[in-house]
Amino acid sequence: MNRILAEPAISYHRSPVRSKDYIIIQNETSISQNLNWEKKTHGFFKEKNVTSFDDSKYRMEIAGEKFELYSNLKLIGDQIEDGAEILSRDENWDDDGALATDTETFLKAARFIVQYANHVHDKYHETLTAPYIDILRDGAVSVHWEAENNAQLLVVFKKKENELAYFFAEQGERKIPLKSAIVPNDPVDETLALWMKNYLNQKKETNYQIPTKYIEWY
Amino acid sequence: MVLESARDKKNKRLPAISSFSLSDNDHGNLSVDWERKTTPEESIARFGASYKFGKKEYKPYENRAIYALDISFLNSLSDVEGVIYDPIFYSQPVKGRVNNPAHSLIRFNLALEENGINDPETLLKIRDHAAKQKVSYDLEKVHAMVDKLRNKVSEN
Repeated sequence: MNRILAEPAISYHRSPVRSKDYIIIQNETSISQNLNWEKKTHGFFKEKNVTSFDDSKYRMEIAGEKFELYSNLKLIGDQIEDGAEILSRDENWDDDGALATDTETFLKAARFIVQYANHVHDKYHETLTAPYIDILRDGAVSVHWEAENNAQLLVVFKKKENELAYFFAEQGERKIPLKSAIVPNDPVDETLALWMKNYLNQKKETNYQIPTKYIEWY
Repeated sequence: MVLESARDKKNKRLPAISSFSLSDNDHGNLSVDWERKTTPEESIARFGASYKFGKKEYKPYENRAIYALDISFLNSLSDVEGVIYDPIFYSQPVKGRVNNPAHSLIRFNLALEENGINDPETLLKIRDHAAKQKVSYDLEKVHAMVDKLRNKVSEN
């Protein structure tokens, strides 16, 4: 009996929560002054945006290339500038036969950092911690992030042209791994960006706490 | 034995990941010393009595540190083929080259790695393992040993 299976139907449901259901809470004082707060929020609130979202940008030039970063990402820009020191290392920089790197390899790493940091800031309004750029002994450039909860990401940019940049990431006590590669200078890999947003973000200090008297209402 | 650069120190990135990376000149082997055949001071002193790669100048040794790596840990890494005892002895004394009865090799199985040398997972695992096992040494003893080794070859 020949049977052709139909493709499974896919239905898409919009979330019942609409953007107007959210309120951005500026501080605790404004909540206490808002007597209709319970009715407005329907129990939802957007705690993560307590700190202001700064969308101003600044420019910097490294190794002859111009970069634009959100002002919140100044520490990341500083680390890229600091990392440019590896361009001054000659062949045999460790006295043991290590190879020098080149400007293009360093720029591949710098572009990656700027691209992903800006993307995470744009899309998720999160600020990544600053990575450490270093040179490996074969002249490759490494970009290493370390953050809380044992989270770390290492991306290696090879000196050869058209080489993939392999990365390894892990987080948590059980060091759950994520291992893959990206194509340098390609559009953002959303899986990696989301991982970075989740595990390499700067912890925000928030002065907001759910007022005790409202907890039962939830 | 690893390089501790001023920048890595300033940024508190010690040991640097680069210390455990391979150069094309290493042919897939990372040189180490077997602790059973040496002291930390002897290891650093041999380094200081050796010439820089491809040059006739002694290596600076004050900016070096020692970290221990357990062989069982290394053997647990998928792209480490094995750790091999590989002592070095010169039939005639050679200036800038020192006999090393402790010399050993961490041999990487590059065929297993689609991305060639310096796989990020392996680098991170070795660095994290080493970071917990820094080995201290007496620099004064090392100075004396280096002088002795450098002069010994000069006399010959």
